[in-house]
Amino acid sequence: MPLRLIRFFGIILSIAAIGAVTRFVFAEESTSTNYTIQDQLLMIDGGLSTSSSFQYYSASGQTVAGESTGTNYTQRAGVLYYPIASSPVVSAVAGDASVALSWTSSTAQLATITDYQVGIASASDGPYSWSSVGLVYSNSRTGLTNGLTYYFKVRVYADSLMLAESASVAATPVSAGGGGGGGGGGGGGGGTRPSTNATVHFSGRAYPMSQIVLLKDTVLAARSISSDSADFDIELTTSNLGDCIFSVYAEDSEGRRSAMRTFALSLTSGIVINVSGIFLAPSIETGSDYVVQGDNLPIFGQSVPTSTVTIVVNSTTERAVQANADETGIYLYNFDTLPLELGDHATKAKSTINNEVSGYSDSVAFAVVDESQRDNETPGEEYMKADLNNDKRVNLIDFSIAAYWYGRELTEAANLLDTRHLNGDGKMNLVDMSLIAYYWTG
Amino acid sequence: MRILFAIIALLFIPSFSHAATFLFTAPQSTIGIGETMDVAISLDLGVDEDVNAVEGALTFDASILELVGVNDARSVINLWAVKPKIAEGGMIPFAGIAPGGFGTVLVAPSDNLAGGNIFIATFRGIATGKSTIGIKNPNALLNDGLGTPASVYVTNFSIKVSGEDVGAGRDLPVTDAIPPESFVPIVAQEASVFEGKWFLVFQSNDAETGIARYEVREAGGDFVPAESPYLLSDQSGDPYVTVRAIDNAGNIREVALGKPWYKSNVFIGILLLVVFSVVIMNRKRLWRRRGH
Repeated sequence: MPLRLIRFFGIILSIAAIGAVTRFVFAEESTSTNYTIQDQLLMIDGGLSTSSSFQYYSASGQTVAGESTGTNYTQRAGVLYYPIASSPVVSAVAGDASVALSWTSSTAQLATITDYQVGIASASDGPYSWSSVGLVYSNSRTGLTNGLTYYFKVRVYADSLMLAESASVAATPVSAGGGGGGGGGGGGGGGTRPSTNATVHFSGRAYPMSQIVLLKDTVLAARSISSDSADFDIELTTSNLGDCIFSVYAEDSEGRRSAMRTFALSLTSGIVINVSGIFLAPSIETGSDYVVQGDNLPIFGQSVPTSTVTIVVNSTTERAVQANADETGIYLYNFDTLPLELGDHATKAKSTINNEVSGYSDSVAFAVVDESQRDNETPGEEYMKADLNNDKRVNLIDFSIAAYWYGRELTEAANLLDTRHLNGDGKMNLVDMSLIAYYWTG
Repeated sequence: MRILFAIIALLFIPSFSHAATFLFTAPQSTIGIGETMDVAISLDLGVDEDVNAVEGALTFDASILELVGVNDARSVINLWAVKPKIAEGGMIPFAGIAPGGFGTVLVAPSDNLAGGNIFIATFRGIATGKSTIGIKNPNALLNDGLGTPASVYVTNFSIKVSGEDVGAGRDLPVTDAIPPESFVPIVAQEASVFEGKWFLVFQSNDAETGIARYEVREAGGDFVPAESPYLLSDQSGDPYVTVRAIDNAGNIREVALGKPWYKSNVFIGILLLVVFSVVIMNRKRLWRRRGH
């Protein structure tokens, strides 16, 4: 009898201990548009968490690594994942009693985008009236009142689940014969001006006090500095009309470059195009190109102040961790490399703040090595990728040098360029061109 | 009849795919001898696909079709390593890049631009028959910093050349009156190129008909056809050179770099020195005359 009693209390204590340990190990938050899960844990006995817009019943889980998939969702084992998508960048061009909207396709993880919804409001903070437009990237709103400023947002859906929302963009319709138009503070407005020039206005988030670079057809067109809160506005008026490719990127306080965002805009006489909600991906760097398995690898960079930065490390199983950017936008995560296999890996990051989600940063490669190689690696001379003429820029000169050698047999000097700045395969081909396009600075 | 229209519509609507697919789009599939038709070559990308480099060779039967024009004005490719151009032999090689990629671009206003346009080829029917238009060795690389190849497919297209007129175009007059965009040529030097000699790089754009060719003139000489990079005759590193960008309608944009010899600082300095010396000598002469 006493033995049974001891066994019974032993089991109870064990369960309590497991619960306690689980609670401390997984004390993190997951956030989405409508809910926050605090102190994630797997509940043994079932339970219910509630909020104003959701009910969260006890978690389902798997005891081994793997995925459960449905038509529109993927569920992974371990700490719960939730679908997420990048926020669309929206452009607005005002017309006569109408506004033409276009937006970038959103990129989703663990979900398949099935629908976009367009919201319209008379104030930037709403309330918005939403309507489904399907899986398309443009929409025209007609029957609007000329002279009134309208605000628009685009939401991304996987079935009935909202994944992301864009920043607002403003536009003021004008009568066909009337001048003026445009306007709209904050996100800016779209409209027509009695001018032979075209005006394009880009706004969004980058890093605090960072350099914002605007390229037009691959050539540097304008520069700007973002604010303390990382917001930026950059405008270009040009007489070179027609179809143009614009690219925007940022350089953070350490000179690290963001991934480039590209926009194809058709410029006509007098048009004003506002492109709002450009959420540039975080800059990213690792503490070292290689790390001994089991050591921590610092992964750091800059993003919007107080944003949540999701860092993804690829390996056989993709691993995602989160870090919070401080008031200056700096984030740091010491990644434990023990679970990573020996060999080459890469990491990338994206940011989330106020329901807006950036795209992914460029990938940064690193290698996990074993203990015997701890001190073997000696840092060699570093060469900037794709900067063939070593002027700290990747532009037309570098492209021309590569194009000169394209498909030709490389000389010793050209081979050195390929080794130092490109993929080092002894050939100058489309892969090298792709690297130049990727690292382009203008 | 409705079914027929539906089949025709399906024929000309590019298919949606989740892979990188080279597509051909044309207003019709039959032309008469002597008639011309534009065929747009585009790369349709699946969701989340972002490509920054493409290459391949457009192929067609040169005994049935003649290539009479290439227009890259509305291309997503900004820089060509191998620019598509009119050539004999039924093959148009091309290779180029789009810095930043073009898979996830915002296109606005949306009805004015088609995403993924590589270039437009204009064909003329020269003999009855059927020609398949395809792409040999198609390649597209992802914008991932690694040059990873995308899964590429080609949806071939056929043009039938009929002995009768079918209402296609006949060398329509070009209405483009706008010259190419202004640009800035750059003088550069790199050990691996032209044995380390000074060369010139240049690039312009033309939104209407596309750039046809470039010409360069050095130090007041004649204009000669040129491609970037261009080996400079003047190896001073500070050449006086004029570059012309000429679009497919013949409009010219001309930009100059450096100064002609008669505007150089050295020449102006020597000229001032000579003038100053002459003035001093004259004054001395006058002073001597008055003194004596």
